[in-house]
Amino acid sequence: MGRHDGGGIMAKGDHNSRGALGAKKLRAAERKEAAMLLALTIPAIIVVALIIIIPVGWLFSLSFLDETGQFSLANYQKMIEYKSYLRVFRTTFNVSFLTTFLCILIGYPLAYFLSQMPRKYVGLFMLTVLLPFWTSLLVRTYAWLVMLQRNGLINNFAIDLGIWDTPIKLAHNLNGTLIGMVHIMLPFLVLPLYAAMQRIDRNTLQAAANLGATPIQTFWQVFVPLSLPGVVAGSLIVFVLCLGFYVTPAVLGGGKVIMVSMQITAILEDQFNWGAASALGVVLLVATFAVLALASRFLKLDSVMFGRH
Amino acid sequence: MSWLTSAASETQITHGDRLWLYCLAGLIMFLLVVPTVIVIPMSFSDSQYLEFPPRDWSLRWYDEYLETPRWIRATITSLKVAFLTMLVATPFGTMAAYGLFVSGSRYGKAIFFLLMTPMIVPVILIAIGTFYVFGKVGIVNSISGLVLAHTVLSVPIVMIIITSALRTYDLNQERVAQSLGSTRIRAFFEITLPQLKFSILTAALLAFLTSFDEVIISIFLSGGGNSTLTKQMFSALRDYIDPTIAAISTLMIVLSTGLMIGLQLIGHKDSRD
Amino acid sequence: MVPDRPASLSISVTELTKSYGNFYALNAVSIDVKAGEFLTLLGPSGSGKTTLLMAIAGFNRPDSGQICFGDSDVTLMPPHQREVGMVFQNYALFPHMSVFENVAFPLKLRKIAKQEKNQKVMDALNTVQLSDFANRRIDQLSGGQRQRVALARAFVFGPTILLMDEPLSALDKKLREEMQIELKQLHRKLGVTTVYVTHDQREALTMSDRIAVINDGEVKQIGTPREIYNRPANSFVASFIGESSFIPLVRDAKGGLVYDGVRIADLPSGQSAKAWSLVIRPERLSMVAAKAKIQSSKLYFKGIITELVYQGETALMMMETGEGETLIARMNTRSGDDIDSLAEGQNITLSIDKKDIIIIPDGAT
Repeated sequence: MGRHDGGGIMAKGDHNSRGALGAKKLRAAERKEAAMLLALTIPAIIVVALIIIIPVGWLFSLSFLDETGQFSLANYQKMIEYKSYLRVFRTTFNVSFLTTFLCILIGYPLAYFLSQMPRKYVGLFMLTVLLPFWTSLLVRTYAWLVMLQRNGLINNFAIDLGIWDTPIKLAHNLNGTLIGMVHIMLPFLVLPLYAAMQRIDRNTLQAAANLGATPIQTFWQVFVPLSLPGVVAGSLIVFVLCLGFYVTPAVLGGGKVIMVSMQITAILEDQFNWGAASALGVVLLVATFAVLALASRFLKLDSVMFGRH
Repeated sequence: MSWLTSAASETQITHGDRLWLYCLAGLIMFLLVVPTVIVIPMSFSDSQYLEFPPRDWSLRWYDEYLETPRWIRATITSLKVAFLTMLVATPFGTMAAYGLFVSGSRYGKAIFFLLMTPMIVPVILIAIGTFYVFGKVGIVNSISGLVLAHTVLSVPIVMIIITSALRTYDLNQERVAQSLGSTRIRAFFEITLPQLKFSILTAALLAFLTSFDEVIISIFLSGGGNSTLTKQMFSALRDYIDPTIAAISTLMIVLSTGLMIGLQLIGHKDSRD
Repeated sequence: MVPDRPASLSISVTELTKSYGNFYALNAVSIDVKAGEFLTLLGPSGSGKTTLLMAIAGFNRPDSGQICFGDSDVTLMPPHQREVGMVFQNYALFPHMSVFENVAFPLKLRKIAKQEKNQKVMDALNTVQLSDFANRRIDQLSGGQRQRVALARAFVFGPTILLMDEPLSALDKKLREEMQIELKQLHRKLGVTTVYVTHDQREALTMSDRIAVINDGEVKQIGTPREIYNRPANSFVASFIGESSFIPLVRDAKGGLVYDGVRIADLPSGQSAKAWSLVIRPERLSMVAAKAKIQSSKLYFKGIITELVYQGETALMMMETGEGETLIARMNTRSGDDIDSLAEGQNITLSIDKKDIIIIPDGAT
């Protein structure tokens, strides 16, 4: 039984006059091996092609057909003209911006705290960030729905403590939606931000202190600028996830907060208008890719940005 | 209270100076955890309105869950789909991750990006897209269709976990094995795979949970007798705040947390060997 | 803005103790650094030398003891008020700032006027020969260049004390040796009290006015390079600095120390140690020609060559004596000694001048 590895068995004729293997044969063997390794990805590629490429491609083409099946840009025209569509876009962007902003406001101190903790305690605290992660989205949304009710936990608690007198409508509106979405998105900001903060060299902070910077000066002039790539990375993830979000606004919005994904569903449920629905979907997809493309540009230029200090 | 005056970092800022940060972080962590777990005690509340703290304790919502056929059917469907997703996504993702990592080919980057698209494309689009295509092919409301869709969502996660495990793994061990006479395939199965055991288990678990917790695609692709648990819960939520959901949620939390804790324990035992 | 300040301050560390749980990083250490001197803290890893430096910089708080700069007690002063310049082992430059901005940072904090600030920064960069690099980003610099930026940043604001934590350890040998000379020249130019940490004894011997040898959180010996090398006070210093051979000595009835029947020296007065060792530096041993006359000023060792290693300009020889002791000798390959004729297994006699021998008490570490 000869030794056979991915490179193939070499025959006598593969050697040139000096006994060394011909370069061509070596390259061919190497290519064959690389190809076989890449072949391992085929099952995954097939599945992705079946579920992502083909359906999304089909949707793309559907968006350019009107009710009669003819090519037309009517669906996209409607989007620019109908006020209801514009409202949906505005709502979606507003909610995404607000959620991202609130996540940064709340998530930065938490990530900073975690980065300052000694190693043996970090795991414990990190559990509180990871626990929401592996709890079902639906469960968490439901929990907020129950807590934000008129006679729910939050209102009862606040009234008992005298923070406010009459129950505030926290569910089935924008407030409830924001609260729920911030809660869901927070781990997506905290984790990459924490990772970025961890990578900041402690010696740099010590050097700043040694050179005369008070702890506050060190924080604002050295730590924060160095943590910004993490903030950007986390914010982008949160923003992009918010754009396409469905469950939480659907449940907590009470029908008043209509995001793109909900509009798509509504169009399909009510009118079965695939053209309109897929046009909206394409817009959502393009917006998502645009934000991500902007992000990769932005992140590469971060060294230039920091130069303005 | 000497801890308050001791240094919190090399810059000699004290814990006392940072007390406000500790309180703020504590509050945030509290607010992160509470909504997740508050459902648990509430599920034992006897009242229709799910009080906290429950005035009267009872298991009536659990009975409700166990006695309603559609909930049980949905649960079984979800478990089936999740299990099958795990069985498909884990090998597919692991193979892809390994192949890409080791080949170092210039097409690798393009393929990696392609396989990551399920994480970038908004899920609603995947949902309606597959709904449309499956509709044409006739496999809407089928378990296999759902498994296929969930697999696609899980594959990127599996790949990320396995790729990061491979990064800390010394691939030279495979080369040594080959130099000692083993084939490449054998080296993988006998040397590499056993060392990746824990990561593969983690990836499998996450694939399972991803499928089990998934909502949007399930809403579109599962229906009728094959509805998933999440789809049923969502419908119930939209119509009224069904307290049975509290019981179901508790069970789901117990399932996920139990699996993750089990995973951590196994990992702990592994590393101690 | 700044009142009349001397160019450099003395540092006095008194009975400094720092422990981490049961482990004592510093054990009642006392050192006085004279104003303007270049003192090296020399020791192996884990000896406590970096802990001591960090304590002087203010990055850890000692459990007990005192640190004074000149006349002021700075023991409890936070690091950002201590006005010491520090160069870290990995340089700790600010990656989000240019070279100029890095060096200007301490001046900006002290609110120095723009013109004066620019002048000082360029002067500092000139001194370290990096004036053309002012606008470069940190990641565009080589290791040696980064090290010089870190240096410039440390002295640009005119501190009276400079601390350096193994600043050259990341550089390759040739660059390291060049930088040693440059640092020494810089010290001479600035005249600032400098405390330098290293584990490399050659570096310490090259650069220092005085060396403090540290191990296990204690100062084993402090003195000039010559004193440390020629008169090690204990076996740790003797073995850590230079290569040495250790030969146990026997006390005779008349208060002398004896080797192989030959009286080497008198028992040093005021020492209570029971056992003594002879320490021999390898370069002090010479080969003895077969028919040479025995001189009373020399000590002789007969034995067999066990190892002979040619190392370029010197050759290392290991010899085993009749009593089973091993001597390490280093021969100059250019000298009259015919190294090439030697072989392992050969009999040989080595000699050393009695004035070159070092006697240390055993068990005193």
